[in-house]
Amino acid sequence: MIAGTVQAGGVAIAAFLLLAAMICAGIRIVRGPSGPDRVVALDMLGILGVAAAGMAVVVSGSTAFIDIALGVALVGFLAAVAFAGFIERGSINEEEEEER
Amino acid sequence: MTAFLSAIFLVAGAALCLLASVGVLRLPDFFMRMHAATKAGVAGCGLLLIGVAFAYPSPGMWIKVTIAIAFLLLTTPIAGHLLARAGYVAGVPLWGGTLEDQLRGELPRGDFDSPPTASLGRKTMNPTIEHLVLGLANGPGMEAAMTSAIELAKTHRAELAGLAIIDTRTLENVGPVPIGGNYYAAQLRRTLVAKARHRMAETVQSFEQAAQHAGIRFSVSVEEGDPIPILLARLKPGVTLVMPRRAWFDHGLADRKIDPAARLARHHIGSGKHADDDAPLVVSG
Repeated sequence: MIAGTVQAGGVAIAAFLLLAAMICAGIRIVRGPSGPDRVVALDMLGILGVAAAGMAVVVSGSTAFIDIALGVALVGFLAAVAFAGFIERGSINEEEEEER
Repeated sequence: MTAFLSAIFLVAGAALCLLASVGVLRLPDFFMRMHAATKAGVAGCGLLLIGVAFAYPSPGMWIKVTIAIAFLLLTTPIAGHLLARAGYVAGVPLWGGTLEDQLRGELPRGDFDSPPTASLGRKTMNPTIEHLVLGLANGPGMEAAMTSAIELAKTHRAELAGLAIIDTRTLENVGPVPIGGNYYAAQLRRTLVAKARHRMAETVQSFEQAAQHAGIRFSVSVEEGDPIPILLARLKPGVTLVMPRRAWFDHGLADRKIDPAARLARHHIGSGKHADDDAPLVVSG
């Protein structure tokens, strides 16, 4: 009985903390100021997405959500790598691009 | 027991996630934000996943959680490293308080979001004045400042931006108000600011006539408020500010005399050297 209450309370608190964290990352995405800042905030949001999928397991009781957490982690990594390549190439000015 | 452990891990993980996000939001530059996102983010997410495994303990769950955490621990540092490298190469500005840049010379570094005219190389090659700002204040010395600014604009073919400011901060400071005198103090403030607007309009008009007569490109902008931050915002590298030596943006209406050179020098604009002649102040950004 007590254990159930403690767990329910812990889940509720954790969910609120995660929500606040997502809002913080969202504000950084909106505010920028530069593209890379937004990408880092997006990466953070991806990690928070993994955490949120983990929370979904506890809240809904369906353990299938843990597979979603794995998938989100994978996609977030790929997105960060792709954005990194984009940022790095985007910085090279056109003259150097033509030389290549 | 596992319920307690699960609750502890869930809350600790979510709290670390929040800490990481606050870091992403509050830290001053890109590299610090990235470090907060990767380190604290992975730690928080890992703890939270352990909490999930404690909530539904089964071998399959533990294996999946272990795989997820291992995956996060492997990929997030790589992603963070790639992002930091890309950001550095792209030239994302470092925090102003950075003491040492150990990557200088190791990696190429671009210019981020800055126009090519503002880069140092061109400025040292061709030291012309690119932007001229003339402070428009009604008072002694304004004519001299105007003519010298127009001369500068002609020789350097620069656009002359007239900047008229009404120093409401000084004008609204009417001194101690006796009890019951608030109404009159407010009226006095309004009258002073209205008078200042009038005088400023005269100066702007004479500037427009002079500039049109000289046939240069010019623009006029009017601002109200504390002049120092307004001037600081305008005074970027490549910008030269011309100010009358004896007139301030109170347009001669403040009850005490204001020395523009001293006032500007106090905020680290210009050298603040005292000159007895009426030559206008010229400050480069």
